[in-house]
Amino acid sequence: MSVISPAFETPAPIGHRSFYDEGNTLWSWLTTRDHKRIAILYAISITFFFLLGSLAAAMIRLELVTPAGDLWSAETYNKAFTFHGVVMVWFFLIPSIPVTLGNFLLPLMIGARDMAFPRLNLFSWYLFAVGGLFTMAALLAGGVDTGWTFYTPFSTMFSNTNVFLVIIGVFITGFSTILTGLNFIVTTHSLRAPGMTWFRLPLFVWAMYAVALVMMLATPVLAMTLSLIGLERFFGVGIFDPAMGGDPLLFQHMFWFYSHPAVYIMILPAMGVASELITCGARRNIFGYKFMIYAIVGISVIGFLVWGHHMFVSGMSLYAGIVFSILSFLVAVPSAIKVFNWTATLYKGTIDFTAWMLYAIGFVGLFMLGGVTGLFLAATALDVDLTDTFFVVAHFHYIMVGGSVMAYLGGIHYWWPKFTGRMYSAAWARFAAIMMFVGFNLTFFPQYLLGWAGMPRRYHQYDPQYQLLNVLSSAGAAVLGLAYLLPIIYLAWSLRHGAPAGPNPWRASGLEWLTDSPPPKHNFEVTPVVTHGPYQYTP
Amino acid sequence: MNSISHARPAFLEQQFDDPLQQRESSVFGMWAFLATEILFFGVLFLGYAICRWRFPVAFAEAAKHTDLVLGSIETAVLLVSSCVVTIALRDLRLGGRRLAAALLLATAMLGLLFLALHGKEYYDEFHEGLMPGVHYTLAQPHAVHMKLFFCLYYFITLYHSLHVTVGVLLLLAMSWRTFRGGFSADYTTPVEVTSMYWHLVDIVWIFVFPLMYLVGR
Amino acid sequence: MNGPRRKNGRLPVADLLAVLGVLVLLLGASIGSSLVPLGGWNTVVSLVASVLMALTILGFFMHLRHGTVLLRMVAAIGFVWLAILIVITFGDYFTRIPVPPPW
Repeated sequence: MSVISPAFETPAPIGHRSFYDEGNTLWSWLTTRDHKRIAILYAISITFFFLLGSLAAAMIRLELVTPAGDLWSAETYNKAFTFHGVVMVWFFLIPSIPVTLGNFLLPLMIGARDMAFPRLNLFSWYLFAVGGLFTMAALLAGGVDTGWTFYTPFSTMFSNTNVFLVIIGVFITGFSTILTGLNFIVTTHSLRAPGMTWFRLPLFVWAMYAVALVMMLATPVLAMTLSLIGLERFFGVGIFDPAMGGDPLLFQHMFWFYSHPAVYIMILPAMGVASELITCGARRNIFGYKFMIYAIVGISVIGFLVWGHHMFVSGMSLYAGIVFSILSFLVAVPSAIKVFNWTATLYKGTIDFTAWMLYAIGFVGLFMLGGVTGLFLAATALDVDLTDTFFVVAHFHYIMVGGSVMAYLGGIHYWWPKFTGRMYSAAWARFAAIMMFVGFNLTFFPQYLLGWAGMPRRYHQYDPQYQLLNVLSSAGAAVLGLAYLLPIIYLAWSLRHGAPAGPNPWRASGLEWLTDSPPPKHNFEVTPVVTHGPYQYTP
Repeated sequence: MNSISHARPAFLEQQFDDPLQQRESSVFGMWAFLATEILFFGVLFLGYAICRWRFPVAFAEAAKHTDLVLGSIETAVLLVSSCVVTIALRDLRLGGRRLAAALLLATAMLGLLFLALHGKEYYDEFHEGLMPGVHYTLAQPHAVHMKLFFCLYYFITLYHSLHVTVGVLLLLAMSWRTFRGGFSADYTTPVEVTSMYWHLVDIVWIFVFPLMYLVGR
Repeated sequence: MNGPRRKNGRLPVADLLAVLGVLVLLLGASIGSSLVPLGGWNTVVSLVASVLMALTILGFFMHLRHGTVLLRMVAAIGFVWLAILIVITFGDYFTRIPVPPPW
């Protein structure tokens, strides 16, 4: 990738000073401006929130084992799925890949010493933490029952739960997202190494750039919309109040103007990770590099025009519904281009089934299934039947868990040697990846069938004919939960006992593999000079 | 760490190669931040547009209750302050210090004047009973829908005043740093991005003013 | 950034004051027009005045006149996205078929 001599199999110089050696007190971590340390702070925080959200998911699946609403009351169930949604969306999925992998890798991949605004980067983490504290305070104070979408007028006029606290939490976290996006954009524009032109950027960097754009252009809308709910709750009057002529549907427009692009905030980074993993794992240059870039940018732009497909049955205009439906079908085009290009990259490749490659291949399949069912839901007529059924739940979990979480874990496994300088147990990692794939499908595929058969979401009891599939789904959730615990164990084990990784254990191309593992404080001993594109693989 | 051998000025942060790169990054970042601010306020303008489209008569009635004279003066104050901060930045770039610090302070004072005038408006409106949810005494035919206008009026102006307050604090800090000699003709970036923020606060108000004060006159 | 270096855009103080004069004139025109009954055009006129004022500030006080293409794009993108939000949302409201409440 660079004119500097290829660093393949070059052992790290003995006694090299990594960014971990720059101080190990808690204070040194909490005041760091090093993007790599901030990435680790984020990784720890979002893992915590992931476990918290998983507990809520466990509550949901436990309740749904039996048709009767016997384990939790309806209120508790509502609070469980709301908490699951809020925590998983805003405190795990949206930050996940950008703030950990992106924060760590973006400067490395473009040959920079740090982010453009290191202090702002740390400030973003503090905002995230404070927002998380507010959200947890709401949980301790009794929870929230509005669903993660905070639909008015329920959230403004009727809910007696701690909507205000959660909204403050999400509002603050929203600014963490905005500032992270801003940092990524300026960094990508300003700090690229000499010779690193736009069409030499790795696809992961392109994905980070596109997602940063979406973060910046969508999140302010969420912040203001939620603050309108907060003000309405506080003062008892507001613009969504039907009693004085306000329109609750206006809230849905504003909310989904953010929250549909937010889906792309979750999936675009996953696409970037998958592109890096698949090209390295197949040892073939990515097929259609430029088209992958156009597809990323296309998805992020068209993604802003389709929010109305969440509102087909809400009382929105029929004609607007038709336009939104057509635009939603359009998003499938760039997404399909990406899937085709990933499979074309695999074609005639020398595929090495490492754990991260299993995750990447799993990602492509699950993303495709989630995407295709998204087309069902984009069709207005079919959507009327499927709205608010488990079909929708299955659809977005295939995208978000099957897509984003798979890619996140794949990325963690791929870059773990770079993060820590250690190798993990390959066998355990493969086992966990396969177990996760099986558990995931066992959990969520039955939900497609349940939704198709008509089982509505968000009820704590259901008709007995749905029980078999629900039991399967809950069993799958147990498998999935165990599979998620495995990486935590063997990755932690590798920190102490793993074999030293060396700078480039996967023989990957890319600037981040040229420096030591873990990298020194300012990433590169000498600023690299780039002379060719990001992927230099030969089968 | 850096292969660059020439001397690095003290204000240059380690991730940048030279002062120009640092300045351009900061300015670019501020423009990007301003874009997010436009969307942040934009949601309120969307709410305004939809509600006004649904209840044009009520909005025209309600807007008559705002104080046109005070609103116009406030607009003029912000326009003047924008000009003053630009002159301050110009002076700083030409190597000035005392005048720049004084002008930055003057800008902050104009911001405070704006806040004071707006506070006067709020005070009058409270006594007139125009605050839905707090003190609302209107009982004319469209009084219910007029609440929508007042909600938007308070939400928008409160968020705007919040931004003015932040701007005043930033300007005061910049004035102090300028006075203490923290900047030079080569290094004005913090003042520059502060002034950009201040201009944005002005631009938002330029759109608030006709929509809140000039309707139904 | 790879674009040409930004000119520092130092206008003489007299020019800056002239810009301020233009802004105040536009403000006066906006206020004055609002007192003349023009029906729906009142809002159009005052909003056009506001757009001109905003462009004046962006161009002269914020030096966008000398800004790179990139900076102009960043300055514009917030407005463009806001336009998307407003236009598409109105697309719903304009075409909605009123459904009377059942009670």
